Parts: sequence; C-alpha cells; structure tokens
Amino acid sequence: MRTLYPHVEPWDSGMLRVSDLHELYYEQCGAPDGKAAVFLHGGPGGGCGDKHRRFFDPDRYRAVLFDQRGCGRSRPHAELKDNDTWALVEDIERLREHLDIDRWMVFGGSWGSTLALAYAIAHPSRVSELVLRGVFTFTTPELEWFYGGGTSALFPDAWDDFVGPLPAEERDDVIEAYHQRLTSADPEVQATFARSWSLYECRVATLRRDRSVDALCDDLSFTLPFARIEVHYFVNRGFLQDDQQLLRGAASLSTIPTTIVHGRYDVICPAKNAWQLKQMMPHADLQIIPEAGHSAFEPGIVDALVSATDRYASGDSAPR
Amino acid sequence: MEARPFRILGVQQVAIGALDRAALEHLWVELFGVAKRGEYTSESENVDESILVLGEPPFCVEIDLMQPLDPTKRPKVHQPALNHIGLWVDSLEAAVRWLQARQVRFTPGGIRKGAAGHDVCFVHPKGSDDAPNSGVGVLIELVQAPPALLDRSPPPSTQPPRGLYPALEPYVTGRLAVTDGHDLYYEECGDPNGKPVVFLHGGPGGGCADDHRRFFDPARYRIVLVDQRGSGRSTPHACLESNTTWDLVEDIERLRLHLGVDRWMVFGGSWGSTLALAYAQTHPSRVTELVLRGIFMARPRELHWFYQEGASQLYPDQFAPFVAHIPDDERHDLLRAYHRRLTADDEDTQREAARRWAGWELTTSTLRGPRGAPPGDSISEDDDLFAAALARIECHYFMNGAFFEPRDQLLRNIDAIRHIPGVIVQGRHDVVCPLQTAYELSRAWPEAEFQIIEDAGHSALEPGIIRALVNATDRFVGR
Repeated sequence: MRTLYPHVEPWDSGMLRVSDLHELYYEQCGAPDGKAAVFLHGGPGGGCGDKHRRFFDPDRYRAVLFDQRGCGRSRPHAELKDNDTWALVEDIERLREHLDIDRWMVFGGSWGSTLALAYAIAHPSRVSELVLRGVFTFTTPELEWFYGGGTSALFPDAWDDFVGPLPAEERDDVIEAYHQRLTSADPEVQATFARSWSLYECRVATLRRDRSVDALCDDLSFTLPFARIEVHYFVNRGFLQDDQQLLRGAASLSTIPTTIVHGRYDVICPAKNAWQLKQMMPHADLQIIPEAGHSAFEPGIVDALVSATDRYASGDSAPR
Repeated sequence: MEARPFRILGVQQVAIGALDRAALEHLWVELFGVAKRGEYTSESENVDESILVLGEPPFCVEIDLMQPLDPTKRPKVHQPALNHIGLWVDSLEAAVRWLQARQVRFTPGGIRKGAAGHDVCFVHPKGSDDAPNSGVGVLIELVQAPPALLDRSPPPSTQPPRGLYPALEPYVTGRLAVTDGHDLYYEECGDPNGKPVVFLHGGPGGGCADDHRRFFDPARYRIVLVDQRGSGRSTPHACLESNTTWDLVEDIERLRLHLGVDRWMVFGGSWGSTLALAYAQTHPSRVTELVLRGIFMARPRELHWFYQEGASQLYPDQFAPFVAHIPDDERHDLLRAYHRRLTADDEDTQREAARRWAGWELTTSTLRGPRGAPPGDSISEDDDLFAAALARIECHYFMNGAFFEPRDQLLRNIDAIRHIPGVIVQGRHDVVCPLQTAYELSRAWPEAEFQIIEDAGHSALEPGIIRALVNATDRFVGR
C-alpha cells in the first residue's frame, strides 16, 4: 500500500498579486525541473497544508501549491469580495504564467475537484492530466445531500449539533441560515457559527472518527475563512450558469488522462458524484475505495492518489 | 475492526542485549540451563550473539543474547536491554499491509530476510504523525512462520468471527401449524432449562441461519429460533396470503404457549427489530428484555432511503442493476415496479426480479462491501429459493407499510415498552437501515442502552456488532 512521500520544504514561495484586492500565497516543492503539477485545495477556503505536498514524488514532480483567494496565507483573510469560481480559474492561469509553466497536471479533491473541472473545461490545453478525489460537481442534489438530509441519515448526531443553534423555522434552509450568521456584523456570531459549520464537516470526513479535528475546529484562523468562503460559494451555487454545467463540460475532456478516486463511505460528497462524472468521462479511471470516507488522508485514498501521481510521472497515462 | 487476514501464532524470540555477552550466557546457559544452539555475528547489524532455544518444536522460542561489536555505533543492540521480541505470523505480507493501512509504523527497510532466513519486518517502538500506532516503546519483529508451524495451526478461514459462541445443533426441532394453512419451522438449542430467548430473523422473509443460534451462551440460554410465515423452512414457501405483521406477532405468542414458556427475551435485527418492537408493544408482559440491532421501523422515509434514493448515493454501482431492470417510466416508484414483477404470474419474471432485489440488499450489508461473485453469476437453486422468499415477502410488507397504522406506530406506542430493559446496537455505516432510525428510537426511548458501532455496516455478523450483541446477552444472564 502506497503512503505519502516524506515531508518536504518548498524551494520557492511567494505572494502573487492577482487583483487590486487579492494576493495569493504559493509555493513550489520537489524537483525544479520536474513534471509540473498544481494542487487545488478544498473548501473552498480550506487552504493548503504541509501534508498536501506529499502526494507528489519530490524527485520527479515540480509541485505547485497555493492558497486560493481569502484563505490560508493569502490576503485579505476570509475576504468574500471578488471571490468566485471564475476568478479562481483565472488565478490558476496567472500563476501558471508567472511560474513560466506550459501545462501541468491538475490535482484536486472535494472543492478542489470542482475547481479542477472548471479550470480544465476553461483551459483544456493547459491540463496534462487530472487527478480528482472526493468529487463534487455543485449540482443541487449534492448540496441537498450534505446540507439537507442525506449525510444526516448516517450522522444524525453530527447533524443535530449542526442545526441545533438555529431556530426551528430556519432549519429548512441551513445554507441561508448559516450565510446570514457568517456575514453578521458581530464577530462573536461569526466565530460561533464558523466553528459549528466546520465541526459538522470535519466530524464526518473520515470513516473512523478522528478526534484531532476537534482542536482544528477551535482554531478561528482555520474555521473563519473555511466557513465564510464555503457558505458564500454555496449560496451562489458555485457561480455556475446551471447546476449541470460542470458535468456537461466534463464530456469535452476526453483527451485528458483522468483518475477519479472516491471513498465508498464519503458522506460529504457521495460516490454517486464520481459515478455520474465517470458517465460523462468514460475514459477516466474510476476507483471507489472501500472502507474510506471523504478525507484525502484515508489510507486507501492515499494509496490510490500516490499510485496515480506515480503512474503519470512515469508517463503512463493509459487507463488501467 | 473487521476480520484480520493474518494470525500471530506465537512468540518467536526474545532478544536481550548487554555490553558483555558472557554475563548473559552465564545466567541463561549456566544458571538457567537453557540450551545453546549456535552463534551469529554481523558487522552490518553491529552484533555478536548467542542463540539459545526454549520449548518444543515447532513452537520453540529463540533467546538471542546480543553484544554490540562496537558499543558506540548503531544499532545499539544493548539499549534497551530487553531489546526486542519476535512474533510468528502466518502471513507476514498480509499482516504488514493490513497493519500499515491501520497506521502502524514500521522501521525502514520493509520486509526482508532475517538471520534465520525467514522474512521479517519490524514494528517501530515509536509512532509518527502519519502512523501513530507503534510498539509503544517495544521494538517488535514480525517473522514469517515456516510451513512446519503453519501445518500445526488451524487456518484463519475456519476461525469463527470473534465473539460468537461455537456452532451448535438444536436439541429439538419442530413444526407448528398456525392459522390459514401456514406451518412454521422452529428449533431449540442450548439449555432446555435455561433463560428463554426467541430470535426473530430479518427480511421479512429471510429465515433463520445456523449462525443465529450463536449469539447466546448455550449453557445459560434456552434458545428458540423460528422461521416466520413463508420464510426458510416454513410453508407454504414465500406465501403472501394471510401474511402480515400482526399474524407474525400472534404466531410468536402461539409458539410461546406451545413451548410452555412464560416470558422470554426477544432478540431481533433489521426486520427482526421491527417485529420485536411490534410484539413487545402488543404483549409487553411476555417480554423480559429486548436486544435489537440495525433498527428498522418501516416508515416511508426509511423505505425511500433504501429502495428509491439514499443508499444509492453511496453504492451507485450496485444500485445500477437494480434500477436498470425497471423501464424508465416506472422508475419514479421502484417499490411498486418490483411489487408488480414479484407478484407476476410468470415465474421467470418473478425469479429475475427477486435476484435483483436480493442482490441489492446483500451487496450493501457490510462495511467492507460485496465479496465474491456478484449476484447473477452462477446462482444456485437455493439462492433463488432464498431470494424468492426474501424479495416477495419484503416487497409485500413494504407496499403495505408493514401493516402499521399510523406509519410511525412503533414510535408512538413506545410508552408501552419503556420499562423493558433494552439494548439497541447500530452500525454507524449501516446503509440498509441508517442510523437515523435507531437514533430516533433512542430519543423516544432513552431508557434503552444505545450503542453506535463505528466500524460496522448492517449485518449482524459485522465483528463489532457481534461483540456488542453477545456482550448484551451475556450481561442479561449475569456473566
């Protein structure tokens, strides 16, 4: 079973100004002359961590990681203005040009998979391969699953804690209810609801309960951008024309070698999302990982992702 | 945790280090009298050792007395003094893979040949961020057992899932004619003078299996199992006439009277939990305790979850053949579409529908997912008989809302059984009867003990579920 590559430090990092308002943190790891890959984190608003560098063989990959608008080390912190899917897609292009990279592998999980699809559909000639995990295509049923009665079937306890702070009459539309509170003028209200929003997601992200997330959800520097930016994107339905846009667009990506890795017990983004995407991308290698939830760090998911990046580094892009 | 694909067979060695090997030999060989088999020296391992042997072949234990060639160099085989222990494993590769998947940290080097020519791999004494599980201060060598040891140990596949009592035969089997031409098969196991318990199988239509006898200590329990109307060995097979929840409830009473039992524990999972609740709410004075698993209350949202949309989100691949069998214009109500086919005059139509229906349920019942050939490949006649009863009877009951009025009858009447000692065991990752139902039952019945088994799906034979159920039945006989 493959595991993550060892910890690495970046050999380059910096801030890239992408608009009057936004500046993005980025870093490069691995081999400066290696195969280029860009890592798109989840959330949106999740930011990158050290562990994300480790999906790529440091001897063979030039791995680029960056914090999307408003999160992680990017500035302004938790900023919602000029923060939408298409701005992020263009940020990826700005970064690519800034780093003088011609094309790159695009690797993303959860919201990162959504952004990866949007980017590949907009700029297919710049994408050498796609590696997607915990697929999310921003359809209405997907939002309803997580925020309205799918996940709650298996995690009624986590759901109760999530909706508990809301008055009964507002529980029919939790995204709207949380949106109001996460954009409140009162920072205490924002903080409280950022915590309960983040806890809900983190508690159900792994097959076996990972208690270390409780501490993460006490950290406002993580939860505030994470919750605010997520809810901003959800309220705006991902800034898509219609909720089939990404699935439709995926049908045009048949020349891009693609690996889709999805946990059987991913209750945040259920396996059906990956299944539907595969119907639109018949050439893709779909792997449903038994005994795995949503997190990229589930052992079975790490195995599949590292195997995929290794394969693509070897120049093997044929479907398995 | 689910069944592991390897077994630790015994202690292979104990390795002790000291700056002076002679002192170790003096104790072990001269004073303890342990036999010395040989010596071994290796520059790369920085060791000069005496190899002693204890016990009888093939399970003898090696005692390695080690001295560092250069005490300033690594590895420092004398630190700690009790340096490492070795364990025989029947399948080293499977063990390492399985343990690594559970974040056990191994030392660099992976599996390689050890001194005696066996494959070995070392569990690190300290954990890391990615692999926090370790030897907790002890370096542990896992050693591939040679054929001589493997021949002496029973293979893992014949080992029962942990926790079930051993397989047993009934001391009596019988048939009970109830009403409307139905004839029920029943059996009794364990101790005829023991604490009575009745096992209610799932489905409905599932019938009892041999393993169902094993949740109860046979030395303490009088274990009664019965195939409900139309199921298993009861006749007429798969018959839907005069087959309702309330007929089954009265059948349980008929059986109780027939067996001369005054009151009994009621144990049931899935549909068995539904029937147990219905029976207890109707005849509360006859129920000593309730042990329930994988809770199902047959309400519309539960049926919608499994037969229309819900479980299908997590198992889209397994759901596809279930849906594909039904034409587009009927797919908005799959329950009705299958009912039409399961009650059709044409046997072939019934058979194929039953296979698809049963297949969907069987492939979603465990955490690890479907094993072996998918349903549809080489189906035996027995499989078809089983599928026919399961599918027809389930569908019949579900089309009729399990004959509950109102649909949430079991929740509304919870007061009738609140006083009965109860244990609810529910798998977190049960996608057939999702946790939500058990959660609601527990909220309405807080007096019952509610256990969420994190590592388990729907099946009663999930290891964590077996443990919890056997634990409950043991406790109720004061073990």
